[in-house]
Amino acid sequence: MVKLIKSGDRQAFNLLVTEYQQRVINISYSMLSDREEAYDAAQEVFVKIYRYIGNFRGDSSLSTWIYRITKNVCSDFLRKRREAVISLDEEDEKKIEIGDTSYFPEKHSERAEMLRVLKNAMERLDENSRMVITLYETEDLSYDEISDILNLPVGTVKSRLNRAREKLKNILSENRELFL
Amino acid sequence: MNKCEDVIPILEKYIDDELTETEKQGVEEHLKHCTACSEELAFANAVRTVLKNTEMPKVPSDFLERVNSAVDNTKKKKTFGIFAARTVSTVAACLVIATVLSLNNKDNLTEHMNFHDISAPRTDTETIIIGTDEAEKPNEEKTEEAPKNNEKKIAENNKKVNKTQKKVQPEEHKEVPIKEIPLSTDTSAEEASAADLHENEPAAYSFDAEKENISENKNIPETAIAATGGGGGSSVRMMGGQKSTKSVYADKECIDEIKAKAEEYGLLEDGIYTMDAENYTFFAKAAESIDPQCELPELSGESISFTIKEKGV
Repeated sequence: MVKLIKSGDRQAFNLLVTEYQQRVINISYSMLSDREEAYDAAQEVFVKIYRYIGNFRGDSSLSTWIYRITKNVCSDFLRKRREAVISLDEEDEKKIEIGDTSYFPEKHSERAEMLRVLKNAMERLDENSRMVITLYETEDLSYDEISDILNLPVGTVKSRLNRAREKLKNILSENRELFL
Repeated sequence: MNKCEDVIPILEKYIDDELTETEKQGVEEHLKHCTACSEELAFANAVRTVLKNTEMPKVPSDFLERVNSAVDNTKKKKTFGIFAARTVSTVAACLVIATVLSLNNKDNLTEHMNFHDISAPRTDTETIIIGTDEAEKPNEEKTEEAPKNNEKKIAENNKKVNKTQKKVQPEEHKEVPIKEIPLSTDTSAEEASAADLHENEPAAYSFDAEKENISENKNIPETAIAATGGGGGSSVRMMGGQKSTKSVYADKECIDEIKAKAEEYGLLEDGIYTMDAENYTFFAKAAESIDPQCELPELSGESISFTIKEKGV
């Protein structure tokens, strides 16, 4: 497939998009907590894949390479957002804090509340913690795969994941009863 | 293992089944009698379950279409970029040739066109006038009129041209590294950047070395100064469209580890790491502990952007 895409085969590229689109959107959404932004980021990820596939040598797996691009694109979106937030007034900041709750169909149910609380807690995590939790918990990737994607030793991945979980639990402890 | 403070820190490992058999038994024994730790375990499990079952946005029905049209738009932009770069480079090359030839025939030019003194500072507009057909005509006339054995005079004039060019727009000229002079129409900044991308750094540009020269005003060969002409500097900026970037220089052995640290503390985009002042301080300490001989750029302002390069390359 990679060879075909390298030769400019759009059909092969479309197959790749179809295969990876949900995973890329998942990570983007976990990182950005905004549906539309996640779609935009995912789109940018695939454009980058198309442009730079010629440089993919196969030293790592294709999925690792794609995850790495996704991580970088999300980091870029978050950076741009941080720059934009500076110019927002308090009213707008409040809107961002509340987040996009319209996505959850059972808005008023306990589960929806749990998801909303979790989403807000994830937003309060730092970028590195959010990424490692997303890759491990949401994407179910192994330590080795995460180590490749983040370019970190496995030991660092484990300790970062541990710290991230502790941070998340600390934030969630305000709403602990929801989860018990 | 009867104390809560011993059990709680390893509960996550217990869930991941990463404990030794003895540790595992110890935890299980403790959990039988400790409500607080059992609750902690239930909480940790619940958080994981919710995380794993978080509903994600579905792929929009037109997503593939959106991606394809974005790819097409990028290609169009790229094509335009190449066209623009080639046009600029061709015009720049013409200007250089025309300027050099015209100035070789300074006396003739002055006579025919009533030109300004070439040692006086000129604007880009004036330089462009030199490159027009009218500017070339006297040159042709001169070629016909001038004796063929007048090589000495031409050589002298060339020297004058180099010196004069430096006087004309010294700031602009200093900024132009010779490699970036777009005289060839076979490559573009876009293509070069794409060629340098590899899977470990999905967006690294070979432009960095040249940018470094720009930012630090390193020794630029005179030939580059002479060859760029009035429009050369701006053409480079138009092609690259990037700001100058600082660099961290580290030993080959340590470079990967330092890059990993930089990714940890900052954001990586197009081979350039960007981080705020606080993170840079942490990064600098980490980098120095990895490679005590590494060269770190000084922080100026609230954030810093830099590339990481091998020493001596």
